Amino acid sequence: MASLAGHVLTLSALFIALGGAVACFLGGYRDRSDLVAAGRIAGLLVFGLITAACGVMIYALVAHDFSVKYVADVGSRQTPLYYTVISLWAALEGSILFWGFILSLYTALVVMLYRGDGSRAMAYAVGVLLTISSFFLFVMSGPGNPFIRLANPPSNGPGPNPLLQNHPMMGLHPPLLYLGYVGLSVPFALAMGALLAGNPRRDELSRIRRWALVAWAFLSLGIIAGMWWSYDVLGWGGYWSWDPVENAVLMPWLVTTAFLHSLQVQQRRQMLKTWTLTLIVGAFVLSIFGTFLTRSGVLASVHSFTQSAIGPIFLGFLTAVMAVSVLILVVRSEQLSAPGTLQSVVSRESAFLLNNLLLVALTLTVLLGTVFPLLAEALSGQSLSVGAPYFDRVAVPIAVGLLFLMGVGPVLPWGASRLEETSERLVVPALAALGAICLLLLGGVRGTGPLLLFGLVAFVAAATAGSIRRDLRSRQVGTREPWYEAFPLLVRGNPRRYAGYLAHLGVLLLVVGITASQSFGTQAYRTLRVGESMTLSGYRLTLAGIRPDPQSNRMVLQAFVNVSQSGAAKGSLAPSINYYPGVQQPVITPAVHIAASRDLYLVVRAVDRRLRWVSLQAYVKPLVSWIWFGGGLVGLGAIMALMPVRRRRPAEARQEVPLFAEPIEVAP
Amino acid sequence: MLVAFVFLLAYGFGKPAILQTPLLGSTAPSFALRSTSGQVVRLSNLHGHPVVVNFFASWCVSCRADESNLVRVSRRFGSRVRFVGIIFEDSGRAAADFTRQRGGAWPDLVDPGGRTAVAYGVTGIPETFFINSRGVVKAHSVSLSSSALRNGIATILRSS
Amino acid sequence: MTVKTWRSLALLALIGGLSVGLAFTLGSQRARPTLDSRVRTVASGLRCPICQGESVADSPSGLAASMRGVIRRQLQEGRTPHQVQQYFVARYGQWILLAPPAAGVGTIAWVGPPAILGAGAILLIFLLLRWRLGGRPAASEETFSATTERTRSSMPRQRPGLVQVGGLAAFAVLIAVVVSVAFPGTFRSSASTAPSTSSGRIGSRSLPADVRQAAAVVVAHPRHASAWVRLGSATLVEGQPAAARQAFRRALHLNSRLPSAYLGLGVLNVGHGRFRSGLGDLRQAYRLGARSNRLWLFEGLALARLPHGRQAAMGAWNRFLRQTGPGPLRSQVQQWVAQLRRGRPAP
Repeated sequence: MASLAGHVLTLSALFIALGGAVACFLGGYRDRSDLVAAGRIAGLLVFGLITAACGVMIYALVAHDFSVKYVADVGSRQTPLYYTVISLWAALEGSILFWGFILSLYTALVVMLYRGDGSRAMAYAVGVLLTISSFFLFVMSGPGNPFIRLANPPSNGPGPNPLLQNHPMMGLHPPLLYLGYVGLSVPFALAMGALLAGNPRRDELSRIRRWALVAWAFLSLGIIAGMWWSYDVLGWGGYWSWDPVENAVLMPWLVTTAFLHSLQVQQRRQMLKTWTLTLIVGAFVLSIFGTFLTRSGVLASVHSFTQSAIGPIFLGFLTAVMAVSVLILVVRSEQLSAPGTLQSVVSRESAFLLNNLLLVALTLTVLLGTVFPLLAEALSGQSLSVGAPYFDRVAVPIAVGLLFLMGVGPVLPWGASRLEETSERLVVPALAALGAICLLLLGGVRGTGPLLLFGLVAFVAAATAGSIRRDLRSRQVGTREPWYEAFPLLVRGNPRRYAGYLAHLGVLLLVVGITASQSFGTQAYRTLRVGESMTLSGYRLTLAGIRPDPQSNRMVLQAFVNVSQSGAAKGSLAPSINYYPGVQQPVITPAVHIAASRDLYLVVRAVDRRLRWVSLQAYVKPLVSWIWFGGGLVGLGAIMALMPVRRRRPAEARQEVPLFAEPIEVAP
Repeated sequence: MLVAFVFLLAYGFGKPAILQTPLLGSTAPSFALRSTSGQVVRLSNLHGHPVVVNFFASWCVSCRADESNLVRVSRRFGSRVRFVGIIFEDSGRAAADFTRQRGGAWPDLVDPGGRTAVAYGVTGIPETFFINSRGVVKAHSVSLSSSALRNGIATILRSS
Repeated sequence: MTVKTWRSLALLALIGGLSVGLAFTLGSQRARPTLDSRVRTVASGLRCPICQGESVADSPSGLAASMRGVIRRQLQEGRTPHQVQQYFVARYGQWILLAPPAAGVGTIAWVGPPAILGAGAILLIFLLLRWRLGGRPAASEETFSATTERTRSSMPRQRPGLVQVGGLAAFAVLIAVVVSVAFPGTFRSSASTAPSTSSGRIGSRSLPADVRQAAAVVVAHPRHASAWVRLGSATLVEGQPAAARQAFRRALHLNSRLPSAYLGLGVLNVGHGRFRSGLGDLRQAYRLGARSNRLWLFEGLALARLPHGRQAAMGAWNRFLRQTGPGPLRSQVQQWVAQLRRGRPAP
């Protein structure tokens, strides 16, 4: 029953989506607003149908209806309710259903928010969204159908992959990531629509910017959530492994970042329009590439779903998307050519250009590394691997360059540069860098790489602070406000700039956290009997006991470890090792004590069958929580950038066209 | 360039999945290990005979399914070829139980620390190495099907 | 540039140089790396063979632990990290290293990123110069929006030009070619990922023991081609030619040089009357090293049915007879050979 209902729902959604897409394109082309309206209604209908299909699937999962193939693959009577519900996205077919749901949600939002916009561009944009939806609907009602009805339903299923049942973050990381990933379809569709209709207008571009920001915010949060999951669940003590699927999420994020930066040049100086639009198209293409990677099994990864025939279908879709978008961009590129010019080589425009260069180069480098095993095998038959050592060597220098730009960029003025002024402004930040390095050296910190990075972070922080201070001062000249009144007003008056600064601050914290935990982490590995202890970086870890804890879906062996520091007891941690029936390798759950300055991370590597001893691996990782905090700031910055700008009076506005000149300098 | 990229990805579907061991044609790594019955077996002592080295464990499903092939083949060729089993990531007792059930008259060696498995580049079990009488690895198989075993043995007999 | 500019730039350079210098001299690692950290460094450059891309340092598996032990021993014996890495390469292959070697194909990986950066930098300089030297002054807001409005309103009425249509057609053809290259094989054999009883492809619910056993092995090792061949043979014997064909095809997809798979296909085809294709498969099996007596038996059967194949059929059956011991099959084939010699038609 559930299979039939689900299948009918997805199939009808497919036809409606197809029809809606045709209606939108036809209506837009022939200026038939009734057709376009029909297309819009189709978008809303599709949303309703897919939501219903998801509901049916969740119901089937919770009710343990094993006649539905997906439930038979992924469900189990022993799995707790929370994990049963989130196993909607635990395996391939369900994840496509979930993707379709989010895509239809975005489509419905676009239809509703812009229902007053009768332009051709919007019609085409909705048409593009419906076309993408039709592809995913085709996959989920055809080759990747989760609703296949099994003639002989098993009495119980194997349950989702144990790694996906171990941590509640599994309920957060995929939805966040999908919201970001799928969210890239919206700016793509808007861009395509605007391009198809002619030359994109200014307000259309700001619309694209807003949706790109939404997707970027979710992507950033999703990546951080993924890092957290990897850290907290996988038990290897790390948070990023340059896994192909991790890279596949990083690449659209990098390109969208480049887009957000280059858009600023576009909006102020009316240059680089083609390039900006190419970037957002590239981000979407990379997101489809990422979904292809996860589902085709072409490259091995921790994330891989099982290999299936869906791979070639996704490859076909990827090819079609690439072809169509390249075609449209090429055809329209003459009309988009920039009338702008550059007044000075050393200016903010060129800093943004350099930023784009570095981000795109980083993206291409990550892409090269990710597909290199395939390339090597195709060219020479040799099987080669590409992992963290390669990416560290190759990607980190570019990231350092970007960090440097982050400090220099806000200091540079738009338009004409006054090199003298710029270099003077950079002296204090440089001193800050030197001071930071000296302080750290005095504090006993050693290591050339980390010292340089911390110095760079101090440089960027000081440069940005100086920039903010200059803006504040120039405002206070006019209004004579005290700084605690002027600052909020300053921020409210130009939220995008300060949101950018917030995001940059988040990135700085991220860099500090990553550098510290990578370079200054310590670890120890001992086999302990009950009562024995080991020491690490000032902590004393004593094994207090080993306790078996049978649960409905697994057998958990917990090791209780008492932690004390300089004699004072700090508490206890309980890392565990989980045995799932039917799975050979047990799953380890680390226990982490998070503090602002360092994390204590314990993992059980082996346990005696008679529970007499435990092999414990302990890590002390400094400043890991800065990573999560920094990531949160980045997301916050993105949300802040979405805030509407306070309307300026027209007179003010005209004054600032076309250069948005720097506020008047005041002698300090 | 985009087209080349798509071709590359499409190529990924046709990729064969099995990796060949680089030890083929080179001297087999030597070992001196104690068997479950206590005797020490050295590969160097077996020089002059073709040797079949089989990595296995009691928890390996496909070993259980196919070990009968190995037993049959050992009965047929046991006079001309020496058989050696090496236990991979398993307790000696469990492996001894397994071999008792299986039958077969060759020693099963305990590999402390998995060092010999690493020396042979073992990535999974069952994995079988066919070494000729001059100590060179001539064939390698990841399955225990009778044809694979017979082919391997034929190869080492031929080149001995 | 004024004197002031030079002064501030010099100051910047001084401060920058001092920072970097301090970091490199006073800031360098004092302590000599311990054995543990050296083991960890080497291990993080090696890939765990049974995991999905994890390094030996990070992997919790038993094999990785063994490998770490081996690394530790060798470092203690005084080998250099490079020598230890080469030890593993000699046993596992180049893929055990997590960074591609700088030689051969690997140069692309190492030369690529600087090349990308360099090309981008050149492009950037070129663009900057072009914008600096040429170009009209920045258009004001109003004229720009007016331009876009004009282009917008005139755009949709244009009929697509010949060039654009031709380009579209070329693109469509290219896409069709690419898709047809990407689709073969995998799409057709999509259903054969696992011989699940629920889909009913292997026939009735009660499977004979051989097929069940073969299926179990395939489920445990879905990427072992010989497991699929075994399944194919078992299903063929049980009278399920379609399933057998899929299994053999799958085996060939995994290992295109597996003689037993070709042998199985050949037997299947000949047994079902497709003599020519069966013969081709059997010949391919022979070329890849198959020598079993089944090969000769079915080759003879196929040749006997083809025109002018009588002589060759006899030759094949004679080879069969040489390899087969006494039994009903041997006498049967002897009868067939006798029939052929007397000029009678094939069985």
